Amino acid sequence: MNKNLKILAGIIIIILIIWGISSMNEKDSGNLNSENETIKIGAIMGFTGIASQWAEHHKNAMELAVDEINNSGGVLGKEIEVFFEDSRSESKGAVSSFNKLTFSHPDVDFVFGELWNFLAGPIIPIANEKKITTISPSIINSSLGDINLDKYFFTAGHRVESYENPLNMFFEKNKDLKKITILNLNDSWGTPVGDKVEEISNKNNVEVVLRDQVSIELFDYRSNVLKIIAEEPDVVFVASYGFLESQVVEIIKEKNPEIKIMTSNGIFFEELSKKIQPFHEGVFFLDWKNDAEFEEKYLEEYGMYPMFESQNSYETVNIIKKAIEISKGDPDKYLESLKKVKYQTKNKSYDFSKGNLDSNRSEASLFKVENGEIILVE
Amino acid sequence: MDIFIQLIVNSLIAAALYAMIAVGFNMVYSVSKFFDLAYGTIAVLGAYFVFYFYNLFPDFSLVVITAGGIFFGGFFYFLIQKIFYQKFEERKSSNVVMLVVSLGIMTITQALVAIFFTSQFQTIYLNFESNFKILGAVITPIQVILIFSSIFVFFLIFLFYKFTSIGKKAKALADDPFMSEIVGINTKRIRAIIFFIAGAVVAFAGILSFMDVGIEPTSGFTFLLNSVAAFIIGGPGNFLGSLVGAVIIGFVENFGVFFISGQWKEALTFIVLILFLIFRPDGIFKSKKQNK
Repeated sequence: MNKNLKILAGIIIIILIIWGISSMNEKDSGNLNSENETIKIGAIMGFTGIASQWAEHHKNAMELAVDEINNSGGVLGKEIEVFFEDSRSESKGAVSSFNKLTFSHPDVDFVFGELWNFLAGPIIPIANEKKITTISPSIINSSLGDINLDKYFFTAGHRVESYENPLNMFFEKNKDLKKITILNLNDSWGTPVGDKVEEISNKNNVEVVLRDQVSIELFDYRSNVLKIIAEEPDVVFVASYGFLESQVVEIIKEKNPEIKIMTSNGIFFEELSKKIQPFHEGVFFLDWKNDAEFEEKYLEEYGMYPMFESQNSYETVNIIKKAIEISKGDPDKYLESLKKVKYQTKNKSYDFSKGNLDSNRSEASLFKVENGEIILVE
Repeated sequence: MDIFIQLIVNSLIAAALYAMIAVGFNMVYSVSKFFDLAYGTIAVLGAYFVFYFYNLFPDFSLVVITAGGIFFGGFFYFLIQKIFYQKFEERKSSNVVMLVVSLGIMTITQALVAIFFTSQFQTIYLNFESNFKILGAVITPIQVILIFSSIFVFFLIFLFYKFTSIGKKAKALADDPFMSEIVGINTKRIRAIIFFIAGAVVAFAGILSFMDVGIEPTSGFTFLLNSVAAFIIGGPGNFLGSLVGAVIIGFVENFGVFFISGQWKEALTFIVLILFLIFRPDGIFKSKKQNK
């Protein structure tokens, strides 16, 4: 009797689970019908963890564009609706966010994200498998292009080739430089950036006397920095994320102020710098110019300057809008339409016909900190 | 020469941090005889205590907030011992069970810290007037405090075991828990006190590391790994050994990345540890008891 009761209880539980799942699906299909009048974008960013400062600004920029579009009548009469998911700045978090998003919103039109290369990499195969058009606003093309999984995945992020002009300009303006050392993160962003710096240095007859790569998990770069300055270079290039770049710059300036320093862009943004320390005087860095119009709008809305290439997120929403317009609102044609998008702002240029990972045709610029101000080197 | 001195200074800074944690871990291990994986997270708790209250009351004395963080770390670890470890010890649970319990506590604590403070890397910018220079090597005031604190803590622990009644009882408990109970030592009380002191020590280490390079919720595990390596190299139960082990790990890490790629930094510690386990499994200082 006892055993029969257990079997009965088991059957009831199984029936309840099946009923629960099916009613959840019914609810979802109900949502599909009722929400069909909106364009749904799922956005995956690391709102917590090491990428959170980036995520905050990209989310702001994205919402700025969504509000503008919705306030001016939407896309072909439909409003844009965004569902955010936090990847916790972890690869596995990015994957579970993607799965969660596409499970809870199976009718999502586009997925937006991730922001960093090592976070975007794991979601590319899933986007292809689930056939969901996914656009990162910020990851760089290199190190993803050769894995041949880019059918449904796009990036509006800057190409590593965009570093070439400002790097060449830097070497041309500093013809006395003979030796360079490079310190970069050994991830799918830092390594290609380091490769590009090495390539351009060689082309300009500047000898790369040492290149060291460090793990993103390390917080203490002190002895790595000693190694790169022990070679007595004329210039050091550092590609890491903001706070650690700052640590490296401090040590170099303390040990040998004669060495020129160039960094990737993470270190100099106003908000980040305010939290940590003042700008590092005399340091060069590479970045992409935002449009003044975008900066003004952002400043007015959020009371601070946009940072970390966040204009790309603003423009990516507009690119999605353009793709939907080209497709005349047919979701089956979104993917093909996106590949036809060409989009230009004052300082930004996107052409998705150039390839899923090569759409951003904007050039980086060289900046320098002089008398506490950031100036464009021309 | 300048670089060489700086490398030595960097190694000593790392060693000071690992030594504090390794010595505390040694205290705990000697009275509990299991590898407490949650120990490193107490360092993180202490650091986040300071981070939270320093941001909440920026004009309040940092020394007082730090003291609060040290006490909080000790008290939290005392509670963990009372609520969890003591219960499992009373049930005569095996070391494997204790290890799994500590893994659970570590995971929960890390998750709670991430929930309350996000998993964002955190630091504070302490605007000291200037750094110190020793034979061309640069050292910040916080790093000086870290090195001297480590020596001071080690000295205090030495005095504690040598001259206090509780310290002597803790030594007896470490040598033979069964006999300690027979002779009337309140072993539960002694364990609780040792956990409180060790918790305070590791919280202090975490706070200083936070002020030096910053911290995130999972930093505790990295602290623990390096310090356990120092603890094993020095020989379990041997406090001087833990100190020497920490110095070895600090020097290997810093000189290692100078001569080979920086990507090897974490691996180097464990290469040294494995070599010790193969060739000197009882640690540098084999105790007389172990020899017998």
